[in-house]
Formats: sequence, C-alpha cells, structure tokens
Amino acid sequence: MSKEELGVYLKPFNRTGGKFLALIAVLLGAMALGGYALYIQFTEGHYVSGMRDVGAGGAAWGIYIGMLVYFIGISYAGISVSAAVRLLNLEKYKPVARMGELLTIIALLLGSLFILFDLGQPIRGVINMFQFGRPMSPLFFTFSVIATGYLWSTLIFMYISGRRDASIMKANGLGIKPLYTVLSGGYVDSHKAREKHNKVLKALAVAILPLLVMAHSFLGFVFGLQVGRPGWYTAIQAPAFVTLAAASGIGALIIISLVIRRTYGLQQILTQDIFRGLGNFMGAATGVYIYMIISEMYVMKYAGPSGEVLIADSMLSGQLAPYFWAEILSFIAAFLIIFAMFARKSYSLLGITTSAVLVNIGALLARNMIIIPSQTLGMQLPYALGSYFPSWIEISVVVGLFALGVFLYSIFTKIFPIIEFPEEVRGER
Amino acid sequence: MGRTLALLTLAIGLILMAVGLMTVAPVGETAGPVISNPKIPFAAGIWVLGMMTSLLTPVAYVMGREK
Amino acid sequence: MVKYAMAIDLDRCMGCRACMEACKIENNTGRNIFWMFVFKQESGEYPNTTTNYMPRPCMHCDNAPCVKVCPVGARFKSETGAVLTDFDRCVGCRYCEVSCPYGVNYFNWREPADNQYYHWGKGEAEGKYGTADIRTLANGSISPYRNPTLDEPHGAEKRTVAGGGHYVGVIEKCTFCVQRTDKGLDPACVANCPVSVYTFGDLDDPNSSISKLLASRSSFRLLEETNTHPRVYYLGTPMPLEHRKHLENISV
Repeated sequence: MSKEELGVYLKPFNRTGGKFLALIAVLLGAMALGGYALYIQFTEGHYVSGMRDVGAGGAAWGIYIGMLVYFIGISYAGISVSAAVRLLNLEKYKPVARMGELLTIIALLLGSLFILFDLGQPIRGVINMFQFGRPMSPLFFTFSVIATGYLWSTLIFMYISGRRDASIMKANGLGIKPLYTVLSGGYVDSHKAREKHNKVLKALAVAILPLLVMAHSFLGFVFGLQVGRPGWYTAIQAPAFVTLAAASGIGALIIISLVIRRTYGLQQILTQDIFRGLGNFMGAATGVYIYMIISEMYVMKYAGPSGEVLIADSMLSGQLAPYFWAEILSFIAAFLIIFAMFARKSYSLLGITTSAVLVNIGALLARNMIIIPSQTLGMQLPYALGSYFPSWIEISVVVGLFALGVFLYSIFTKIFPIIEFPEEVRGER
Repeated sequence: MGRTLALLTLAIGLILMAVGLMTVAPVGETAGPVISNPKIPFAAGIWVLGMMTSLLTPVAYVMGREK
Repeated sequence: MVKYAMAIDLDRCMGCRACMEACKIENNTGRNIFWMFVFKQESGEYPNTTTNYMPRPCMHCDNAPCVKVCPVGARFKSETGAVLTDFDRCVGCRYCEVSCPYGVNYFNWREPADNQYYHWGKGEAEGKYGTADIRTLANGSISPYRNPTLDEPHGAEKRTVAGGGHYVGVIEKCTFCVQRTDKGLDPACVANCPVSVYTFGDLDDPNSSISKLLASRSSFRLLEETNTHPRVYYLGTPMPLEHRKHLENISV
C-alpha cells in the first residue's frame, strides 16, 4: 500500500486553500455572534428570548426546541446508511457511510447543546438529570437514549470502522501522527483483523437499529403524550417523527456529500449512482410524510375538538398559513422532482440537490410548526390567543450553532479520511 | 482474550443498567411524595453508565489481542 | 392524613380580584406571573350581555401531567395533596408548563428582583426594563420586602417549595400557600375573598366544610376529559363558551 494507491482518497488533505480558511473565518465569526448572544441570555435570563409563558400570550418552547428536534432528525441519516451498508451489504453506499456517521455525531451534539441552552438552569440540568432522572418523563429516555446510547454507539461505530484507516494513514506518515496512533491503537491490517472488524460492526449495527427507532420515537412521544396540547396529542406523532427524520436526514447527507464531492473533486468515488439511491429513499420518505400530514390535518379539521380545529384553521387559512403552505409546497415539490426523475429513469444531480434542499427547508418549518402553534393557540381555557417569534438572541444562537456544526465537519475532513479506504487498498504485512 | 474481555464488559454494563433502572423513581404512581426521588442518588447516572459500558463491548472485543 | 381541596362558587364571584392581589402579596410573585388568575369575559349579544368571572388557581391534579413529565422530580405531589415545585431542583426545561392543560405554570424569565413591580435592585433610578427602583422612589423609606417564611423548607422532605421569586430560570406556580396551610391557615386567596367564593379544607374528613359543601351541591371540574383528577371543584354556573369575548388578559 502506498500513497499512490490511496491517490484520490487523500485529496481532502492536499488542498487547504484560501477558500477553506475564509470559510473557517466566517464560521468563527458566526460562532462568536452566537457566543455573545448566549452570554447575554445567561446573564439576563431567558427574558431576552422571544419565549413567554403559555397562557400569557407566548410559547414556552420556541425555536430552540424546534432546532433540537430538527437536528436529532438529521442524525437519522448517518447510522441508517452505515447500518444498511453493514447489514444489507450495500457496498455501493460505503463511500458516504463515514460522512453519515459524522453527520449523526455532529447533529446529536448540536441537538444536545440546544437542550442545554434552552434550560433555565443549565448547570443544574446536567447534574440533576443524572442524580434525579425519572423514567416516567419522556425526557428521561430522550436524554438517556439519544444523548448517551445513540451518540455513544455512533462514536464507537465510527471508531471501529476507522481503525483500519487510521493505521493506514499512520503507516504512510500522513497527517497528525499522535491522533492516528491513539485511534489505530494496536491494529494490524490483516485479512483476519478485517474480517473480525466487519463481524463486530455487523453486530453493532443490529444493536443500533432499535436505538435509532427508539431515539426518534421518544422525541415524538415528548410531544405526542401531552393531552393538554391540542395538535401534539396524536398517535401519529412518533411514526411521523421517524419518517421526517429519514427524509431530512438523508437530504442533509445528500447536500453534504455533494458539497464534499465538489470541493475535493471526488467525482470518481461519489458516483451519481449513490445519489440516485439516496434520492429515491428521501423521495419515498417525503411521500409518506406528506401522506401523514394530510391524514393528521384531516382528523384535526374534521373531527377534532375546538382546540384542534382552531389550530388547523390557523394553519390552513389563518395567521400561520404562509409558513404551513411553504412547508407543504416544499415537501410536494421535492417529492415531485424525485418522482419525475424516477419515472423518466434519468437522474440529474441538480434535481436531487434541489429536492434535498427543499426537504430540509420543509423539515425546518415543519418542526417549528409542530411545536409552536399548539402552545400559542392551544389553550383550552379562555386565555387570549398568543403569538411567538424568535428574538435576535435566539436567531444568533441558532446561527452560531449551525456554524459550529459546519466548522466541526470541515475540520474533521482535514484530519481524518472522510471516505473509508476500500478493501482493495491492501495493508502490508 | 478478546472474547472474555468483551463478555465481562457486557456483563458489567448490563448489571449497571439493571441496577440503575431498578433504583430510579417509580413509574406509574402520580400521587404521593415517593414518586419524585430515586431510591439511591444518581440512579439515572448508573443506568446511563451501564448503557455506555455495555456499548463498549465491541471495542473490548476488537482491542483484545489475538493469540 | 389531610388531603386538601378547594371549592370555588362561580355564582358568588364578582370579579374583585382580591384573591389575585392577596396571592401576589403573600407569595411575592413578579410581573406577568399570576398564580391565581380570574378570567373575565363578556358573553351574549348587545344589549343582552353578561359578564362572567372564573378564578383559576392551580388545579393540584391527582393525576397531574406536570408531575408525570418532570424529568428530575422537581414537580411532585405532596402528602397533603398539593402539587409543589422544588425550586432547588428545577432545571428550567418548562416541560411542566407545556404539558399543563390549564396553563398555570409561570417561568422566571429574568432575575426575580428585576421582575418585581418596582425594581428591587441595585440602586439605579431606572431598572433595566424601565421600572423605577423602589428605594430611589421612596427616598429610602421603603425597603423591598420579602416574606421570610417563603425561604423555609416545608413538608416531610424539607424541600424549598413555598412562595415565588426564588431563582431566575425556574418554574413556579400556586402551592395552595403551603407556608400557611402548614400552620393550619387557609390559603391567602381563600382568606381574602370578601364574598366567600372559596371553600378550602380536608376532603378526606367527611365533616369538613368542603366535604359537606361538595356533598350537598353539584360540582364540576375543569377539563375532566383530560383525566387529570383536579382537586379544585367548581360550583354554580359554568362560564358560557359561545359568543364570548375576553375583556382582560395576561399580556406581556
């Protein structure tokens, strides 16, 4: 094995141009803005956010929870793709497997940070969750399954699948040596070792798949179990969360891998074939989610109690109609683009990208449209109707955390092979 | 060697998970003060630690040296 | 063991809101925080309109959604039947607030001293949010007052549960005035009602005034379909739900 053999796989390490540094500078700026906003928020209290008490004309859970749900949804992509590669032997998708795992980890990290910044007493929150955690609260499993089980198992998955790459990198004297020494720790590339790793990863994938469904379902149950909130209290909540997670997660993975393909010139490895498969999956999930929205809206509007009808009216033709229809139209457009390409059997990357972006815009709106109207409009006692719009503090924090995610992702591509070395790259004994 | 280590890790993890889940605040009761406190402090932490330990099983397996 | 409950006679209520005022003074709650709130709404069509009032404390449910969802057990059902908040344990996730169908929870969005009707603060003439500092206004003759019993621990577990305005970033709500009921007094709203809208007492004791009242008259509870089993019973005519118009609301 030599550098020449690795060739194209090392491209991300070759170029660290001005553009990359400019991107990092922009991201650092955005993160500084977010940090400043957080500083204000924690010195003045959450009064500086747009959130207010339910019943006093506001929403107690705002865009932070919306973004948390969105990011946990995004995390679906990674581990599902890797698990499919390992369990169903879909070798075709192997090049995007590690991108997906990294996406999962970063998305879960951002989701956890959003919870933390939403808490009124974050330090107490971290301690008390461990000290007094009660399984009767849906938040208990959200925090234990997502933040530890899911995040931790993804880290382990990535570590085991990355050991071989780390040892190859080390053997070639590339990159940061101490990091690869630690990561490859005792790995000797041989046929036997490789087989052992594949076996372990397969077993771990079997263990992670139920965690995947549980994590997204529990997030749905956080909302779906609340009888006091019209619009949240529906049995479709958990399945809908899993479905939208699949659509938006795969969509985000498509966007990220296309950006990497273009930036680092990896057209050889990240073939159109991969994107066709991912696009089809995303399109199908989007279609199912549209169906779920329609059945949910139909029940709310036709048979629902007054609270549900009020919310449905507001979304369909009232004050919230622009957001709701923007969400629905982006889902439908994304679905139609994929479906048209599927019917004509000719796929274009532009089409797949467009629909991936549309699905993610729709998902961002959808997450917030699930959370906020049920609080501002969903009071069952004669309170006044409320409204919510995020303040600049909240928007800055969201932008800052987005930047943090992109930052971590970009840095990672520079220190670790973002695409797994193929089996053909033999290790020397 | 790898197998023994892995089984040991899994066993410790599962025991910790069971201990944690058995000592957290009870589920189902909604009246009375008993509902709010775990039987031992940091029961939820033990449950989480157990989950993390049992997920370390594959790492223990691959790290164990081949003969 | 006593199990407290409250009965509210809607036919007697005239909307003076002495209960809201008494609650504020007793529990030192800040602006926009109404542990006791009286809905005021007009119904019917002109000229045949009536104005109705409905007091709304915390319902102290036996199957409380807020108790179920609290991830750390800060919200708990006490042995006296009241649903209380441990201010030292609350992490401020506001899950109780969004789970409550009655909307009785209030979050300390900012430092409680800054959120008082007059700024209790740091000697500035104008507080950060536009309210004058009470010390400056009164030339030092009035000092901010806080009921000292609110910081004492209560109940079998000795937890900080009484009163409001403890910390920024924690939730608070009606406690059935645990600091008063512990001494055998009625809650502040009950004690201050000029027309005896409220009856408060032990529902486990068949000879208490509330047991007798609920046995003799028909009562209803709010949103019973949500299966929360509230401990606050309403007597008299319910508020009309058709052709109604809110006259006053909590606003931010």
